[in-house]
Amino acid sequence: MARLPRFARLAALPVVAAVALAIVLPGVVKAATSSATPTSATSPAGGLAASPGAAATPSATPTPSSGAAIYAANCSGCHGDHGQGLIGPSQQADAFPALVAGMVERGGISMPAFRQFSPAQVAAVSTFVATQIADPVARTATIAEGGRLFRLYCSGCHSSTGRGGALSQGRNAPSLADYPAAEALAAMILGRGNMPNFAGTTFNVRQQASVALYVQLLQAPPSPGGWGLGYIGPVTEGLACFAALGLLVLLTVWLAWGKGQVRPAAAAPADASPAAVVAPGWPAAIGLLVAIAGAAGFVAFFIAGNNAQKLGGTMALSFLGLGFALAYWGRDLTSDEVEVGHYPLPPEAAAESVTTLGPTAAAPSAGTVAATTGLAPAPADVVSAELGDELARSTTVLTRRRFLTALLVGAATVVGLSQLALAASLGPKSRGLFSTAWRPGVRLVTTDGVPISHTALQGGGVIVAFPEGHLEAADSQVALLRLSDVAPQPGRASWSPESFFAYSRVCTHAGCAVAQYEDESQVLVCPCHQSTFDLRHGARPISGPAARALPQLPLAVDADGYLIAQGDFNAPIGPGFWNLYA
Amino acid sequence: MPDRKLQRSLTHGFRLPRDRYRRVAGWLDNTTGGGGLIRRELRHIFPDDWSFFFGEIALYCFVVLIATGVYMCLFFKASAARTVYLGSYRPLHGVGMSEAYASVLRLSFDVRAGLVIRQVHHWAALIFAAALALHLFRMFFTGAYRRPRRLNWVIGLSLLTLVFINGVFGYSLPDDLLSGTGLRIAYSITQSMPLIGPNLASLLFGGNFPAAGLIPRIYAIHILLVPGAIAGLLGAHMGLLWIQRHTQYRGVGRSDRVIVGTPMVPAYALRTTGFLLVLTGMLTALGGFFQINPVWLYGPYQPWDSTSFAQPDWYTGWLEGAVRMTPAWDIHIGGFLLPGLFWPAAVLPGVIAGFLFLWPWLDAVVLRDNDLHNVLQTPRDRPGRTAIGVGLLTFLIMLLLAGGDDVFAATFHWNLPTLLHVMQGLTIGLPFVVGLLAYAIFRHRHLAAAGEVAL
Repeated sequence: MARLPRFARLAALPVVAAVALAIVLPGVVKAATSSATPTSATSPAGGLAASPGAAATPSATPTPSSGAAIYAANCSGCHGDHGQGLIGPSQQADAFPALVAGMVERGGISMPAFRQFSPAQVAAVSTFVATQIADPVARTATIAEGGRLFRLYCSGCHSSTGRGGALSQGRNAPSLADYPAAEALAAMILGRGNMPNFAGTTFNVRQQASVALYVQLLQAPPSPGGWGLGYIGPVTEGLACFAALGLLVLLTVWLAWGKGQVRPAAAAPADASPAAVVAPGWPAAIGLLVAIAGAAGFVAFFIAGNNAQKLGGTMALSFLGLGFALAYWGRDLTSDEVEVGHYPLPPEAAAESVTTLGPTAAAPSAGTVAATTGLAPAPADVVSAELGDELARSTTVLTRRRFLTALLVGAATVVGLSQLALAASLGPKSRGLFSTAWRPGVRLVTTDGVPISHTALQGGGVIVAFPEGHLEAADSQVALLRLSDVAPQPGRASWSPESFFAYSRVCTHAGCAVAQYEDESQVLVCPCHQSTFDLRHGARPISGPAARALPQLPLAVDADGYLIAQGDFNAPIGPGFWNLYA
Repeated sequence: MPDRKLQRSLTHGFRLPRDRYRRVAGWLDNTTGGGGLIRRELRHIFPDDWSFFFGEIALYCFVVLIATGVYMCLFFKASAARTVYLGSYRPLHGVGMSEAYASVLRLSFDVRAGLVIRQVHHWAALIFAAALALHLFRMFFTGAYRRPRRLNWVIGLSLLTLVFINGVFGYSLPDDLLSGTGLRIAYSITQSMPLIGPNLASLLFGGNFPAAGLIPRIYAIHILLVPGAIAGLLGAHMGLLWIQRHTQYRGVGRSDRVIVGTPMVPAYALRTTGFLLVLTGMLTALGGFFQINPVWLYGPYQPWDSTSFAQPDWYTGWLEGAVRMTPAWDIHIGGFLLPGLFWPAAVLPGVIAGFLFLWPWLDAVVLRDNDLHNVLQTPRDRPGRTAIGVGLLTFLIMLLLAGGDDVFAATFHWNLPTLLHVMQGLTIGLPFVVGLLAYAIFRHRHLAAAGEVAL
């Protein structure tokens, strides 16, 4: 076997080292991580597979009897012996121990924090409340249902990650991380300021508990991708992008520092042989070793699991190490060659630029300030002339026959344009902008398909309703409200039985769902561009870019006491278009 | 066994025998016939300045986007068909969603390194757009668009437009609440156009919103049509750059005829390759440690859901700000309606794009300068141009900030309606103020450098 060339023998060592590391490291990493938390390496969603309450279990197992004693001594005074709720919300609505524990430890708006309890005591009383006192129906709540309802009713004001929102008249919907999740439960049930209440018909007990569980999830949203940047969304992501770009620009400054410039001392371009370079080589070596370690680590972590930080971190090390080594090599280990050449210009370009500076000039940027006069293009130069003549000669066969050539151009245009007809297959002609799925006599139902009785919303609040049998009809969605102190618009008195009003939820500006219902201000606000619709005056816009009122659905009550529509909306729903009034 | 030659190689460096290089060169020349061309172009001159790297940042982001994008398209399912999620992310268990959204959840949680690659792709897209903006304004303020580079300026702007479109379609593919809301707004904008609006919207979006064919259509555009167009135009862009040579700042030995810079091989090639890898490293660090677009928290798009803090990615943010700040200017013409949405969302970007596309010719006509230029100017050489560019930049920044007005109002507890009015005033007035200020400053420096005014 022929001996390997010297280069291959030199390169073999790091390759062998990397392969060895890649084989050995997975075992090491797996052994290390398996002795720590067992779920973190295999389920990137963290401890979500376990029930939320299990996370807070302390070392000593609490017994209900000691929890009962704590409850009797500290809680029953306000919340009643059996949780009926004297001042605070009824404990019947609470669901899981963690919800209770959060409130006990942090306190809420109306409830103090009980900091004198040890973690064991908190766990004991929370378990007692959750298992002995809370409504058993509430315990069937699920996070998934809570999320679905949250996005339908809550995210319009509080954002989909629960980080708050801006309301009309300078008010704010707070970030849900500022309060324990059980406080959200209280707010849901009682309403608070501009927040309507969601108890009773909007959310039943199970749904209230579900939403509370989801709010609890949003206190620490699952973030396998790394730092959440405040969970605000593209605004903070954009700021981070520009910070990263700033770093990149600093890198380019380092990379190009002092390069490509003729030194005043050197009268001639640098000669071909590389001069002696004084920079050391070890920074590049370190970079390369880091790269090897990173690459091996990446393979190891890939085999061991799916942790984004470990995978991204090792990838980053390997690319950064390799890249830095090459950049340093090119910048510091290579002699500063400067090459002088010519721009590809026509030879007779007129008037030398006044910015030519001889090699003995001092500062490059001083001196001339007027715009460079540049080089006038010389159309009569030899190459252009020859090309022009050749073009003229070779096209005479076409230009001689003028009529035929004109016909050719016409035919080519027509054939090309005719293929545009294919585009017509892309979509149907616009229809259906003028009517929705509402018909006379169709019942209003919730997103779960439950018909809405005329006894709904007695405590206020809002329900998102659809036509029965058309739960997926995006254009038919309405916000159903009961506004006892609002008079119907002229000519629409019969549309609002028992003070019920139903307005289209598709914003007349750009089509987003108008999800912000503000109780005290009596407005519906669209969270996309803050179009504000006044509920006291037929949902006409009072601020923001929308110009048309939200179409109203005429309501009636049928023989069984359920709400029905009298017909379709009074106007086409959604954003305006050219022939809207046709 | 210590090998004396090997030992000496490690300490003293080594070279391959000369005939090995010559054999490779012979193969190259026989195959391509371009031996002479290659030999000359190995010494291709690159004027060296840090401000010339912005285009490279963008180019290398594009490379990373292609690599990560190819990986992801093996896992993405471009279908709006409804499905019930039963995967490993428990908070969405049993929730109805599109196949597209479900496939992105699978990629993020169940595919190894899937989330990292997805996040690298999204960070690369953001930085791609930011680098292009820097690149554009560097060209503008140094007059690099002048003859003979006017065609390349047009190609570059076309690339910027294509990148913008691809970014919007890219973040809309997961069909999550935030991006689905954006698509709804895009539909409404198309619909708002006079005469053709409703039919055009139905044509482009496949029917009434949300149409079943929308996601597959966006997918084909995002992975094939636009990247293909970008690749083609990019080839033309860099080809022209190569043939015409890069521009250079004023300096010792430099002129419109004589180019001074670093030869490509070895120094420049080493540095730019290193830069590509460092950029990749930075993007993977971002993708590993900084969460971006957590679609599982936003939830699947439903037309009856919406969220506060609803912003698009930053490079669309200036449009969002324009839409938020424009009052309810519906215009009734005869029996027809011209919706207010038309002006900030369709007319304004058209005007800005038209202005930028025509700028080299505007510049040449106003300054009566039709000459060939290879030497760049500095901002103070043309205070008028600088003032216009600074004014335009200020205007765009104000629009961008206005796009996030509810985030600022909620974070700093400001009154949102008041903030909106302040932003409206600033957006109209500040560009003029800043532009005039820039004119005054740079004209002063211009005159000072000419020796007419003491600095």
